Amino acid sequence: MPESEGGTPKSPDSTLARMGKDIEAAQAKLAPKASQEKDYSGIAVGYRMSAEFVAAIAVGAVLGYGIDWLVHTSPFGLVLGLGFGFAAGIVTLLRSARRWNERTAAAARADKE
Amino acid sequence: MASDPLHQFHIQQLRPFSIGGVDASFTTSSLFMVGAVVLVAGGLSWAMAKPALVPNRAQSMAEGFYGFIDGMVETVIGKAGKPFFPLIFTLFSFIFAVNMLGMFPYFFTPTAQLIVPVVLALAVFAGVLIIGFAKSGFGFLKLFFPSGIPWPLYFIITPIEIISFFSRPLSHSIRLWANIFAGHLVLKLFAGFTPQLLDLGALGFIGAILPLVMTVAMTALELLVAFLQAYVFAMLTCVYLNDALHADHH
Repeated sequence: MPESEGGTPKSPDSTLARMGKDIEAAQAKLAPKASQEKDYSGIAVGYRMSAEFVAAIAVGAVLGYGIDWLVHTSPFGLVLGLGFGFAAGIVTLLRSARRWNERTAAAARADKE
Repeated sequence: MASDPLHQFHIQQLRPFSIGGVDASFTTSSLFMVGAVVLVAGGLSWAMAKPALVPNRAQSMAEGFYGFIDGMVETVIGKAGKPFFPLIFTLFSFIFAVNMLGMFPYFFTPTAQLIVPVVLALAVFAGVLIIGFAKSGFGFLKLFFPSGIPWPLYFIITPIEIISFFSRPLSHSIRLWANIFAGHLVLKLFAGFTPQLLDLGALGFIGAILPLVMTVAMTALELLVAFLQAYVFAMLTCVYLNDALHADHH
């Protein structure tokens, strides 16, 4: 948060402290609403995974095709590339899912406390 | 003209000129990108022109915006992410402003042109490579050779890691482009049905209600998508930067 010191230099420290407490109290009241943040990060993870899987297969196929083109091994490069691309897609998905699990588990723990 | 759903994606040259034979005309796309930059820079400067301890509406909006991105950078990268905050903030606010400007009828949406997200994603990709090699030297390559596995597995793991690394700029850019492009296309299609059905007389008038309702609903969804795609793009930039910063202890 950008603090704007010097905005109201005349206000005494006690007022500041009181305002700080008021803000903290207000934020504490709003805290349950913060869990809404998880909702759209859920959609974000969905968007993320769907594109990542397809992209990995596409890149695998293109790399395989490139190797074919370079060393004239068609179609084995493309076939292998597709296979590795598929595997890479799964790996990326699992990684995203693991990160998501860790984050939601951490958030759930924080909620309980 | 208005009923062609693809018409909205046509780029028009506003000021044609070229640099050394390369077409560098100022187009509608450039205009709206400049518009977004002016909107963000101008809006934030205006909101923070007279910063007060107790913020007014504009200032608290600007601070909330700042705090939102700051929180995201901190959760994904941690304290090490502080130097990259300006980059993430710029990326998010630019994409968000461009997407939101594009939600106005008859406005142009640069992020629906594949080249715009691709350039942004490639810039991030190049940045990640540079930061990764600068930070950990050849240790950055450990990303492709994870430790603690028997050596024959490297024949399988390394190609998979390389493919998953190089698929990042593709998924990063396609996601943003495809969502905005498809959203605007569908929105325009449904919006186009309404006047077409109205031409059909009384029965068409009743039928026209359906695409109209759909257009309203799609507009709401597209506003969410405009925000979400900017958020996802910025968050993934954080994730990639985080990998680059922590490559050597992978």
